[in-house]
Amino acid sequence: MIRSSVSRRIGWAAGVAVLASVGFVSVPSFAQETVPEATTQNAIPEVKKDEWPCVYRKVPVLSAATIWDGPEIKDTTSWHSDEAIRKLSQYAISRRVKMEDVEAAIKKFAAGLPADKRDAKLTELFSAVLSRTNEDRKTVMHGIEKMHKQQVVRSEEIKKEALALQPEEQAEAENPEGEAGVAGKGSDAQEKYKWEIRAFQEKQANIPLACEIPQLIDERAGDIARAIRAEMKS
Amino acid sequence: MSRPSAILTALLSAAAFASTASTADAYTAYVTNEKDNTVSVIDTDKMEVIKTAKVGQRPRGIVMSKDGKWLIICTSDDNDVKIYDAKTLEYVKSLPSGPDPELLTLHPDGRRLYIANEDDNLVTVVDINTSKVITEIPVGVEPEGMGMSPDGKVLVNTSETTNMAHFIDTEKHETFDNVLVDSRPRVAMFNSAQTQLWVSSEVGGTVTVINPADRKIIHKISFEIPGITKEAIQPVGIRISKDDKIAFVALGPANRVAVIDTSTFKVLKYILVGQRVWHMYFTPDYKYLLTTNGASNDVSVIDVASQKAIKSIKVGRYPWGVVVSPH
Repeated sequence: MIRSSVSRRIGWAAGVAVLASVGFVSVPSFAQETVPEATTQNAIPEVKKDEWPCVYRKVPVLSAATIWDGPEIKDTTSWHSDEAIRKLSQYAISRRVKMEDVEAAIKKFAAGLPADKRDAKLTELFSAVLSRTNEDRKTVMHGIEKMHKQQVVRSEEIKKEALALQPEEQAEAENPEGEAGVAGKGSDAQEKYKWEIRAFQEKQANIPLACEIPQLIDERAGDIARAIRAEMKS
Repeated sequence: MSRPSAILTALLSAAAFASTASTADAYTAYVTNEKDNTVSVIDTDKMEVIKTAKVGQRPRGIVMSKDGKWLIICTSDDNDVKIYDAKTLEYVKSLPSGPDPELLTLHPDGRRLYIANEDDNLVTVVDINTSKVITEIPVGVEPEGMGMSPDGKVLVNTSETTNMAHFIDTEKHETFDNVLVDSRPRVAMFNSAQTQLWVSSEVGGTVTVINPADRKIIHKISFEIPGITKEAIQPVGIRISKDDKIAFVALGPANRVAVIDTSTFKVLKYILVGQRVWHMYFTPDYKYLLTTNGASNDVSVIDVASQKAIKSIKVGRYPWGVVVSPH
């Protein structure tokens, strides 16, 4: 009974510590004392309450100037009517394609252009890449924000469950030999709670990984821009 | 020695000389990769990574010992400074520092190492030979930039939160003056004539040029890049050409290096490099300037004469500091 009570108490306190670590609740002093060091260290990385959970600042749109020093892009839609540019830009931004293959494809495309239109067409290609990159970023960033929002909702639910379990566990802690709570009901609720905490932690651990994707997209766009510029005279 | 063997020896010596001469500009650059806990080694002649070695946790600031034998690296999450053999990249020893060391500079005497400890508002002075702390100098909040005057008499430390450049006497190890600069000063750099001290302010978006003799501000440089927001222009790294005529300033997420005339303080050009450019280092012949680009995980090579980025070299994740061996 004592063992069961202690393990239940640690489970509740650890849950509160998990939420506290992500800034959703403050840990009561008595709970801090009972949370083992290892448990708090295993708690998930910091997550903010606002809509953007990543460490770095959200940049909603990648502007041409950040990765491009070529001619000014005056028409951002003309590329839609050029099938070769449509296809090449799609191929280039696919992160499954190796960058050296993209460089070779851009080189081949440039070689096939008439000299007087070469730079204009390559600028158009960059415009297409930028446009597709921004669509890609938008989808990914929306996904990250959605994931974060779901975690905030989930944390609220866990918080309520933790508070519901608290009186029972405190009563047990104060009187370990007593029969506080209904044994069957208590253990089911605690078991469910434990799994929810685990699922919460696993999803939370994925957020920093997801946060890296916009950076990878930007890195790729920069590499493509450089490959296009290498084929231009202006 | 017989005549034929003397001729052979002469020919071999000539061949050896020719071989050395052809690779005279092949230097070795070392880049700390903050996220991978590694150092990328770059052959500046081939312009490619020739080796990647594991080092301590979160490597950031990096310098070389005067003789080029040691790499001295701030391993910030280990709360110390680690020394590695520059040839083999094998661990040699650790030096004590305060918590979260970020940037460091070596005194021209080759012995005293000055380390900025971001978390405890101190500059720690360590003897790299004995590994003993000589002293600790209190400075402003979140010390970072470390600029040593070429004669070794003055160290300038910048504090990110106090927004000051602290002038420290390296004999007495005492601060003798403070100059207020714009928000979040990151790097301090003297020109070789010691007539100018350049301090970059990351959040302020400016570079303050100070006269080291009287600590008066000579000029404040601002930047404007078409298509780039003011907030994205975040000056960090500074390097000044050998003849003191041109300064290069890395502008962070603006992905540009500004080229500035040091007599008029006019921006002559913005060079597009990789993403979130922070720190830079010249090759010893001043032919190339290498930049670390933290967000695009590469190093840009700028040809100093043409002021163009001529190559991007992929390194580890979040490249931070860079140093080039003097040999």
